[in-house]
Amino acid sequence: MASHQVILFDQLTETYVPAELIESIDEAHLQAVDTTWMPVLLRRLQQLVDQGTPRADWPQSSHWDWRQKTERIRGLLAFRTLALTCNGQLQGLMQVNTASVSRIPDQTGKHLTYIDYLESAPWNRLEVVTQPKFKGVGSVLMRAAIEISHEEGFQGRIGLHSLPRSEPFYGRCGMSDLGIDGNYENLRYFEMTSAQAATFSGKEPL
Amino acid sequence: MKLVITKEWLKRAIELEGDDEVAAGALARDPTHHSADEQAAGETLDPSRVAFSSLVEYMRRRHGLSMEKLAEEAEIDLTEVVSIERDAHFRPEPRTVFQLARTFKLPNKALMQLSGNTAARDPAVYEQALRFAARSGGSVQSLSRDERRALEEFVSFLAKR
Repeated sequence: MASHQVILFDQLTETYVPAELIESIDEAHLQAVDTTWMPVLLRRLQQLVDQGTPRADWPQSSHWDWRQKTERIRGLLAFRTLALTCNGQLQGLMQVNTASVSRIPDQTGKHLTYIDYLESAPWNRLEVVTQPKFKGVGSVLMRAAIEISHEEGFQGRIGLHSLPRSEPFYGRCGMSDLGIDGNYENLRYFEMTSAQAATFSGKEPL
Repeated sequence: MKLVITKEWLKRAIELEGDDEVAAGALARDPTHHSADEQAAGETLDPSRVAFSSLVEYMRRRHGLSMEKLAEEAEIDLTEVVSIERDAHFRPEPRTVFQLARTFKLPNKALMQLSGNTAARDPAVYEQALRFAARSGGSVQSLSRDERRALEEFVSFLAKR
């Protein structure tokens, strides 16, 4: 199993710390979702319920239940997946597929790497905890998706459906906003062209 | 994969990240507690259609075909393959269903029912589709071992119709 040395920013100590990006999610990572991610989320949701916070202000949530989420996450074993770990803890997960094509008008039909799923551990998210731990999970995983795209010969092109509160981040990454996709749970679809990917990767000035 | 993350790059990148969320893909949504109300407010998808959508994607993967390749082999439009797999509300044309049934060697009549093209219903097909849709969770993006088994049982049931 290939793994890559990367770094994350620890917000508590304000230092850059070594992290590991592992090619393919394994059983232990899935167990970590169950045993370390879910309890943190559950605590937060219980707090929100206790405080009577309106549903609209909850973390980016859907109506499926816990067991279903776990089951769906288990299915990731079958795809090209990446797990990001640091301090022996799971910090992020990503699943990509390489069977998608561009939706940008002058790029129509060009292949790209589509990010099916990208998520950071709940303790890294301001929606869930008051003092998030690591920064950079989203950025490092985006870079990995771009590298996979290069490897497939797609010149860095990537696409994804952003969750509503992640839209500002993908906009600032320099991705093209192609609007709300009525065919995909009304999530906003973003694409990065190869030039945008080069800029984001620091191959050209930001 | 070559991946070099420098401190300088990450420093700029986390400025872009700010305090915003980074999650992408519907699977990244946090689950909430399940209640009857929420279920009622959820999508009311026809389980047959969900079963059809999952079935097509599964059969395609099992044959080792990309979406484009399937479109080519079944002589149907690529956008139709994408719509069938990604949108369970989508109702494909009868010709498309026929072409898919031929390509995957599945009975056309059962597929026509699943895809919402025939009003006449074989209750056994509906019941199996319901069971299959319930077990597949409506998405083959993430196939667990159990879901895979459910799909296989469903395919062999259809083959016998």
